[in-house]
Amino acid sequence: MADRSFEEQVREEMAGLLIRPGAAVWEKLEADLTRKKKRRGLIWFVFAGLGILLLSAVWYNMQEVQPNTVALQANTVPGKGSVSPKKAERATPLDSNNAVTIHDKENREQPAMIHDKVETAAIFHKTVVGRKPVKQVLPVSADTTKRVTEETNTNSSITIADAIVSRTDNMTAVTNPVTPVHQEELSDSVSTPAATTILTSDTVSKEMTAQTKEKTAVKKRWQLSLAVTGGISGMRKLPGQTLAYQSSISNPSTGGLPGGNNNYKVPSLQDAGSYGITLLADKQLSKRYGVGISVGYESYRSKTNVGKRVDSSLQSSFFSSPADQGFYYISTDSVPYVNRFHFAQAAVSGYAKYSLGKSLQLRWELGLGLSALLGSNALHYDNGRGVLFTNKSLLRSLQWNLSTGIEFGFGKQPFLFLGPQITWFIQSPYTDPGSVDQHLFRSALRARIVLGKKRK
Amino acid sequence: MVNEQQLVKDCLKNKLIAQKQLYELYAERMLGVCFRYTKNLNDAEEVLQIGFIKVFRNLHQYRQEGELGAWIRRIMVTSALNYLKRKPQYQLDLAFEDTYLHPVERDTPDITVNTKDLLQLITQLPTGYQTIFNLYAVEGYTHAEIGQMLGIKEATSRSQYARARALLINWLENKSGNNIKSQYGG
Repeated sequence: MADRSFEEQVREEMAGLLIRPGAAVWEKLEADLTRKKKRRGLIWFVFAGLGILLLSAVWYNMQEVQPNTVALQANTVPGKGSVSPKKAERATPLDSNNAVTIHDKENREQPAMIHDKVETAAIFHKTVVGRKPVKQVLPVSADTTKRVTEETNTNSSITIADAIVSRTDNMTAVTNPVTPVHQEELSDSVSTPAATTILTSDTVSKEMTAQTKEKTAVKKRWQLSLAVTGGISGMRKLPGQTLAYQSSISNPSTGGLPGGNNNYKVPSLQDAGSYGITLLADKQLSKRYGVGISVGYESYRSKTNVGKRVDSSLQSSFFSSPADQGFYYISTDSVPYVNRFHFAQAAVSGYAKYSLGKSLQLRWELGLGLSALLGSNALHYDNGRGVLFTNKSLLRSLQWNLSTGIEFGFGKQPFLFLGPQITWFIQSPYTDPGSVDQHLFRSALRARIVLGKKRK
Repeated sequence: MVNEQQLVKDCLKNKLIAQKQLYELYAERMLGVCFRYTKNLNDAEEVLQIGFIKVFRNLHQYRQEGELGAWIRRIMVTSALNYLKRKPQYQLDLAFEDTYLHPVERDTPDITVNTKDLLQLITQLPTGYQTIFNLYAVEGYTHAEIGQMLGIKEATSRSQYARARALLINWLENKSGNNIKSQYGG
């Protein structure tokens, strides 16, 4: 009972204990709360920016696809019924000679029908593609020109060659009314001369060449993309081997440092989360191969188990250069410590791409990067003394790395790529003598969004 | 009379004025809690600051079922324990050995406990004793709970508490004998 009364007395006395804190406490707290608000605002800003970027990319992608879709739905030839998209696809592949041949046949055989088709094409061209008004020449008879002009109520007109050539350039809306005129329909040639002005193969060929050049120029443009990488990083002796330290070092000796008889152990290593953000520019050199360059920020991390922290500078005689921190950890392998490496990285890469069906693309990439160490709190391990300490001057400031990975692009003209990546640092980040040869390693997932104008 | 519910709602909206009001309402009481776990006022104020950051960050978890003061107090105690585990000058004293110390049986003598004396003596206890004494005698945690909080065996907590208690009573007796209270105007 007496015991209980003692505890009760203590509780009562302590319950009434009030101590007024200094004004500095609230000031620090206020500063912290305000900073957090600002940081939260920044995070929202970054997310909003990424969201806008993503939506813009989606919107742009939809804008690219729209003309094709509308054209296929409205693919009707007067007097011939509608042409299915499949039939339109089956239409003879067109080259300049082919184009002229068809023109000749059409013009000889059924000039009126062709005129109708041209009219339809012209109307489609105005209504569907009309977002970008194009000044065109209609090389057909005066009557047809008049009719088309009246019906479309525009000065725009179209050449048949334009219509044919444009098929290869996603302008199905204009092409389809012409291409359904199949060989069987044209077999019985009529000797009636064409009322329209026929384009020569030479003219068409020149147009085709010009367009091909334009397409090639587009293909060889640099394409920008933004990649975000997240995964697991750590230290390895060699790819696939055990983590550093553990297989190569025996338990440390116990002498030399203050702190009494500590239970020294070789520190164990663990992997930790890693992330990076990269801006890439790539250029396609051929149908399959391409090259790229990139710059970005990468954060690599690993965990080391440490022991008690001792707030004291290590004697410089222990190491080749003095520790730049006023503390060290006794190596008793008990508390996880996260080693952080912050890099600015520039890299070059080559890739090969493969089509896996109509809407899936596979890219295999191989890259060589140069990473500049911006900052690090990584611990160095002194086996002889059984201590871990930080010293940035003992870290390599420039490090080469190799990376490889595959990524899948989704859609016919992908703007989003996703896939696994592996990065291996060729050099050990530690330069202190006697340090274990170990390399930063990361396995991660990379998401890449294509920015700007896509290739057609 | 401050409407605590409204204050909490305003704090959840990140209104700085409300946060300051809540701080002013509980700061003195909570600094008393923090001071019992540390050895000096500077450390206690650091714990108080850390604790209030946690309070504002986790205020959405407060269900408004229990007393707000008790909820904040629990956060302060947890913050103090984490602080002791992290700070090198406290770490060593907190490394309890799981060896069983025989409790020192002492009946409570006829002493009058004075807040100032008691506080001074509690802060003079070794950190391990101080922590367990605070958790058991003042906060009212059981030895099993203390064992979980500090990662030690229940028996260790029990024996450490008995030692701390005996030490404290001994000091209080001496203080009473020497009439030390008068030095503090008590």
